[in-house]
Amino acid sequence: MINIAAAMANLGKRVLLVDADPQCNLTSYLVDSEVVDNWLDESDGPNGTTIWSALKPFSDGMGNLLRIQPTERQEGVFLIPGDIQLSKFETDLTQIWVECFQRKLHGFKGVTAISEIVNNAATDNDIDFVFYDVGPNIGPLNRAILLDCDYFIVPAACDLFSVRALKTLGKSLHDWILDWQVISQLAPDNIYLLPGRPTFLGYILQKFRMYGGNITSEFSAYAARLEKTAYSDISVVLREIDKNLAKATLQNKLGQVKDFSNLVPLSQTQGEPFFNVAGGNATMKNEAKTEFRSIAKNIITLTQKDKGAS
Amino acid sequence: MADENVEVLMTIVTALKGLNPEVQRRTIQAVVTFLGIQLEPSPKEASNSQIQSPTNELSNRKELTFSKNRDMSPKEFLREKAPQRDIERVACLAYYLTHYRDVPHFKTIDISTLNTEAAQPKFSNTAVAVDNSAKAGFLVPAGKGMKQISAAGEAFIQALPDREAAKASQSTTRIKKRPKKATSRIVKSNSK
Repeated sequence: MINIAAAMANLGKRVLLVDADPQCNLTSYLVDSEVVDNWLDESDGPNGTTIWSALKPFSDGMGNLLRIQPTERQEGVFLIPGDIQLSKFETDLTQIWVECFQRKLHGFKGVTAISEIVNNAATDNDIDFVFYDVGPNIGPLNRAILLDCDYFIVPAACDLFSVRALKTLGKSLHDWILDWQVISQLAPDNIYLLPGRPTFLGYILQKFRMYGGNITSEFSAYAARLEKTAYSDISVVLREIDKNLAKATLQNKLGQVKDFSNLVPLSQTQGEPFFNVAGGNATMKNEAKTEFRSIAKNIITLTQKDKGAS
Repeated sequence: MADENVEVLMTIVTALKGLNPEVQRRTIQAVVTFLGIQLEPSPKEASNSQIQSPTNELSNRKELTFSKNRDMSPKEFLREKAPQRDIERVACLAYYLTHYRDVPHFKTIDISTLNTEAAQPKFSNTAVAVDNSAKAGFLVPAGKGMKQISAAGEAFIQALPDREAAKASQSTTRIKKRPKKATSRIVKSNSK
């Protein structure tokens, strides 16, 4: 995500990264460990800067959402830091979802809370693209986030678990979208609602090895299964609800990110995208730059095409 | 009706009384949805199937089954990959057999049968087409007269229909070529 965001920023777009995973991997990647610890220590206070800081007054039942200012991590790339306390809010979201069915205002405010925080930050900073980083699960937090997204992209490792995860995601999304359609119809008038129409933009193939310019045969078999599963268990399933939620094609691969070897630890240590790290193999850095630029361009083209069509 | 039911009914009626009819209707719908109650449609509703309430939508929702096969048919697959030559079509069919039918090792007849199922034009000679596909490096022997798709063949098909990407995948694959027979050159010299 960091690499794609940086590539988009290089193409002149302003990107907001939202760390919506209580594990805070994205925040830890981009910010020094001591700074992250300080942010987490202060997130309950009035000067808190994490996503939880904005949610806390609402979650405590003490007031409205706070407006937080994201950190500009590099030119054009902003970050709303994650927080371990987001897991508390995730627990509340189960009840909040039920409250939506009960038409309670608190339910609607709760389920749209993160969306509102992010919308405010995006408007304040003139953002073109918002990327949510979510944990690999199908919990209530990810439900609220995915229903807020216009598009979603799946990072898919070449392994058995990703094949299964695509199936699970497809079914969960199918149910969430239908539930949200019902909730939206029951909603009181003049209330902010999530869009509830996440369109499948594609998947990004990851964690494979190359030999002679091609994916090695062991990984290639999984690449084939992912291509097939992305079509049958996401595209087809979403198209049963609405034909515009996915393309009727096998071509859902947005790009592929091979194992960039020692660029990974270098990038994690320096908090920089692969192609900007100090040190490392220059050829690999160039390959990374080309690949991520191509993915970024794909995303821009597909989202613009969609906007144009609508 | 039991006493407690009457009490609940009175509570609901009292609570709803103050609301306008539209809000009353939506509130009742929300309660029905929340409790998962399936209501019998009134004769008027049953006759007017165009109007769907959220409750009906929920109860009509088709549950998604994991085991249902939603795979692409061979016909759709070939349309999607758009092979341009017979050797590519053979490779596409081999890829489909491997990854969609779990038949990694196959004979010429399997390719021919799948080609018919995919409603493709007949190969003038399937054995020759399969042989040519093998010569192009898309197929390799799998023993006992069987063939299987090669790694290069998989890379090529995965890249299709992007022909440039497919071509690039081929350019990095080393395909063993049979050495051409040396042709003897007879140079006649007129000089005496």
